Amino acid sequence: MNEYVVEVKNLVKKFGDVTAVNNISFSVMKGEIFGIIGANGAGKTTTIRMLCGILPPTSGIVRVSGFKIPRESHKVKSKIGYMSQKFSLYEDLTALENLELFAALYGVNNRDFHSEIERLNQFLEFKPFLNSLVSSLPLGWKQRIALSCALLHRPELIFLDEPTSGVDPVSRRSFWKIIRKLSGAGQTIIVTTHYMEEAEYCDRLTIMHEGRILALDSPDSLKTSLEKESMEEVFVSLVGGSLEEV
Amino acid sequence: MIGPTGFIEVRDITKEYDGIIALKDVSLTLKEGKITGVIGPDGAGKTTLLEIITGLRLPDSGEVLIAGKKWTEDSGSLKRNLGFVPQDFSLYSDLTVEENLFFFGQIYGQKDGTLREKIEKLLDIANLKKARKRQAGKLSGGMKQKLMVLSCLIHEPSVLVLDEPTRGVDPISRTELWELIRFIKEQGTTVILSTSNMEEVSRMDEVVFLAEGRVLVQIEVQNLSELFPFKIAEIKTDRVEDLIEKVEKLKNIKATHVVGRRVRAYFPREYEKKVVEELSQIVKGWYPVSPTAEDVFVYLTGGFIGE
Amino acid sequence: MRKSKAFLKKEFLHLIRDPKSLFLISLLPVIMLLFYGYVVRMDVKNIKFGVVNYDHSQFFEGLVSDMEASSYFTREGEFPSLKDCEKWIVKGKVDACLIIPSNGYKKLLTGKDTEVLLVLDGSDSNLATTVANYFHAFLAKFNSKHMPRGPEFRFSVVNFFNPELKSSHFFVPGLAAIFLMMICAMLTSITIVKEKEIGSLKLLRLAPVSPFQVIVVKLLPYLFLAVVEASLIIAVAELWFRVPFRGSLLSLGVSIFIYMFAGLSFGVFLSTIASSQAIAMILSLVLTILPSVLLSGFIFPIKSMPVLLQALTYIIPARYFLIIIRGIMLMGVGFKEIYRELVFLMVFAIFFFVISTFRLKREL
Repeated sequence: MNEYVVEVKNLVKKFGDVTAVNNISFSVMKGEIFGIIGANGAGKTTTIRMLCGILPPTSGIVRVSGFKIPRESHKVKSKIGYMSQKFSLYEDLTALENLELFAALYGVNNRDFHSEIERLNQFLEFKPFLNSLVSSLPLGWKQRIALSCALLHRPELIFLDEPTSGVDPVSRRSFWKIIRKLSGAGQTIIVTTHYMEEAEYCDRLTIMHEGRILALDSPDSLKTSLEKESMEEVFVSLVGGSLEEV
Repeated sequence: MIGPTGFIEVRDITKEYDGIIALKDVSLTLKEGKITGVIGPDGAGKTTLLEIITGLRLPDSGEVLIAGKKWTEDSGSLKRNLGFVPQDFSLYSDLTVEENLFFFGQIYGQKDGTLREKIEKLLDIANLKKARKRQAGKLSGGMKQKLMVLSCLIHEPSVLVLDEPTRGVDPISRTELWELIRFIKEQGTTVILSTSNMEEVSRMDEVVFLAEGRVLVQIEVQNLSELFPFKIAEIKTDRVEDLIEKVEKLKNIKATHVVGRRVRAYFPREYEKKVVEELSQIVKGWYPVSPTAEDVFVYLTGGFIGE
Repeated sequence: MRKSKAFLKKEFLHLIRDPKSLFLISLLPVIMLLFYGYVVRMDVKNIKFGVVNYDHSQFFEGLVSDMEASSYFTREGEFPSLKDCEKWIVKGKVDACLIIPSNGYKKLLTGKDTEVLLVLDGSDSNLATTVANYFHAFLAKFNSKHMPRGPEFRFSVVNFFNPELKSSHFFVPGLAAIFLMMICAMLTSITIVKEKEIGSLKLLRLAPVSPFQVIVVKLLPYLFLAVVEASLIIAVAELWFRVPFRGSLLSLGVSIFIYMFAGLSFGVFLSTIASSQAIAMILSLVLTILPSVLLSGFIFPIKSMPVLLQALTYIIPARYFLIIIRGIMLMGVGFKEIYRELVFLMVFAIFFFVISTFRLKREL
């Protein structure tokens, strides 16, 4: 049952004198919705880039889908998908053209592409919009198409970067419903965000600050143990304690 | 200055851009000395509404009255009484904190002596005293955000309008920013701000829900839950999928919503008794919760009908 | 392979979905070709010349009318003395002056070669060289036609204002004109667009300050900077390139000031069009350097352009400033000779200043 898709031990990344990621360890189980939460500059992006194999760690062990990073970084690429709410689709192409492009880039062949579209449509119900220009779609639908593009090559692990900021609440709820279904079907998901309302949707999360992990648990346990009402208060009490305005 | 009906009156505003409707028949009455939030997703028309209130844009039809004055008639005195923090505002990054504040004070014709005193006071309030000689470009995100607000506050406006001040801001900076906004309100300033973040509703006095260019509702925050016709039962579980399946089979459950490992079940008030019975058969513990602002927004935009 | 194909398809789709750009990109080279084809021509027609005939014989009348018949030369008039002819050159009414010595005809009759003098405006060294070449060709033809074996006409050339025809004397003031325009337009356009980018323009619009005030305070520091810049350029021209300076410093100073005002105003105007600093930069480069180089008469003689393009040159400030700066530095002219050019530059500056004020008012 406890199959780990991501394992990180004592991971460190230094840029010159600056330590961006300072000795962090965590594991993500298959089918889990895992959050990496932190302010800008907390080390989220650096961590994600190392997990994707595009940035070599300074020291520490990283395993993604059983592959060792950085030695087997090239194999990791096809195992991961990435979706960001900002700039991920070509606005002047149709939804289908975007999907075809991503399929080709990830080497999905034609037969698989069509069956994959069918499979994803069961979750995402995007078929009525396939031939519309992305620029003409409402934000909520753009987001679904962006997610589909990231899922086409059946990645074992998918990264979501602030996936629902600024989206209308109805679309946001249906988006997270889809994410939950995917996770139920065994899809592993890592969410990075500094929006606390997105943090609430994670099964477990780490709160990062200045390259370190301040806490790692489920949102509910964090709230209970710190006796706080909301994730926002949890964050403020954890990070605020180590924060110093210069 | 205070009108009998409202401090700021927005009357039947309609605005189109190239045939696309940004605002449609928007009417609002905003009270003096309160924090009013305009809430809606990206593209709802928040920025257009705020820029029409501040006189930066002209509506296609309709009018705005601030303390009984129209932009078209008395823009001089309105300008002096209004502060606006635009969404894309980012200060003069090569000027220091003080220099920025000085500049924005001086263009409102303030004298150097009084300006110096005011800057002193504002820096103290916003906890920026130590950073006074630093260039704005070298400030942390939260400090920048505060300085932007101060820049628009230096001429002591009676109305402060902020367009998505907490966008992209981390929770710490957001909390600090809200402390500053609360302080401004306590000085008697009327605050109008926009956000797409439903969680911030609790910090406001009144909310205006905006979707697709229309006002869904304008209401005092304390009365918000009255708009919501359902009751909510929340159940904690480690097996979300199983639970959902069971809960959704119950006849009187109108909708469900999962946040993390908590399942929320929505049901009409009048069926409370029945639902309590039914729920107790399938789960051990559950507790009632009140609706969030997001719940109300989802309801108002028809999100519960389709589920 | 499949991936490349996907990329290729995507790029083509981008092109098709943006028909406006596609149209522009495919037509632009053709338009440019036509434009340059007309501008980039070194042959000159209608060289205006004056005659000072000290000889008064009929024979030379024949020479002059033959010149006119060649379609390259147009006679503007006859002057009693060399001094009057010089005045016309300074005023720009003639490009060349033919001086016929007294007793020239008699000399020919006695079988001796006779020399005429061609006075040219050396401040436009390009034109001077071309005219000298044409006259040389004309004279050779004239000699072989009328005096197949007899004595010959020869001519010598005097270049007023730039006797050695140093091209630097001609180019350096011209380059100064072009660079000053570019710098001024770029400086102001970028500074205002920057306000747009950081959103502070909205604050300025809401503050009780008028767009007029905003523009004036935007211009002043850069006007100061531009004057420093101009002084440096003139200093380099004088001290390094040794361009002569025959006029008054005051008239040059005033002219440069007005010219820069024109450039800065134009820059403000560009900033009301551009949406980003990069676009402001490109616009100010393209819209100042290209016209200044092509249409000011800096390299390509305005005379040889088609009428339509000639008309276009009248709205190029550099055209006027070139006349002014060459006039002051090389010919030593004063306000009397250049006031028309100054008036135009002033009109240009005020026009764009006013338009920008209005546009900025509506700007968000």
